[in-house]
Amino acid sequence: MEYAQRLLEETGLGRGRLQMYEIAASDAPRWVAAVREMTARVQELGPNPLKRHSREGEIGEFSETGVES
Amino acid sequence: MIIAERKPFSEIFESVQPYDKILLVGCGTCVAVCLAGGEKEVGLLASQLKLAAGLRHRRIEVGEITVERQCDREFLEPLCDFVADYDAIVSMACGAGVQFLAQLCHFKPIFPAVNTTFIGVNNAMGHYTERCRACHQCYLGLTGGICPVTMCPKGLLNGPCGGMLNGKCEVDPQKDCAWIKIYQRLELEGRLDNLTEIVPLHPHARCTSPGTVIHPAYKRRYGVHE
Repeated sequence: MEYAQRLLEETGLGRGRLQMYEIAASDAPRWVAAVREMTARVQELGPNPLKRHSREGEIGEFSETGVES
Repeated sequence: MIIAERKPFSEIFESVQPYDKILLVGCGTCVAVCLAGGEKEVGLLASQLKLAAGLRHRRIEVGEITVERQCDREFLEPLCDFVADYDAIVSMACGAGVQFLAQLCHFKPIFPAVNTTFIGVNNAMGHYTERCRACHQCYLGLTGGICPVTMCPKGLLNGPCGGMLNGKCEVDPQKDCAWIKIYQRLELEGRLDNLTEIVPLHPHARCTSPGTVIHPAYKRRYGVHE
């Protein structure tokens, strides 16, 4: 988890957009709290900068080429 | 196996800044085991490069491929067909793989994505330690399977230095003195007599790089005579 956050940090997206919670299936209050926490965090961080650039027409869809080995 | 560590992302990204079509080439052997340059790491780096480029309003194409071994012509030559479509190559293999790829695809700029660190072992997931310095002269038969060239920071061949204290190394007091470990091992094996043998000077002249080894069975093929 920390490693994945670090990878995002390195790219410039920031680590805050990724979080993992361990919640039991029966633990609804914990799930609600986690959703509220992430919602608040995302609102604070603002829209995904990649989507913003895409909407502005500055970049298109990310192209990806996979080559079978 | 060869142990490597991935370079900082900023260094890799900086090196491929001028290029729009980049091929990431992973290696499925040593660097895959040490989680530095295998298929999974190729995927992670490709995603990072695309995200980072997108954040800078750039559009790049990143190809991904992982070969069994980049240090082997048999696996590398078929790759030359793919390379033609790209502006630059990023190799996630050890230094040997990067150089071999550069040699076979000499018309493309190539950049390393890992720093090759040493020949070592996989103690546990994510934990690697050095064991061999590829010094051309192996003493392990004399020293109970513990390498004095590698495990002793001074590479001493005939017993510990005067800096050993309570069995610990003066260079790093957290580590055991290699020669104490050698003594204990030989004592357990009943081979302490080995220590009475004076090991001659290490043949450093053999270590002149770049080294070449030709298997005796192939000497005629390569025009090498005994």
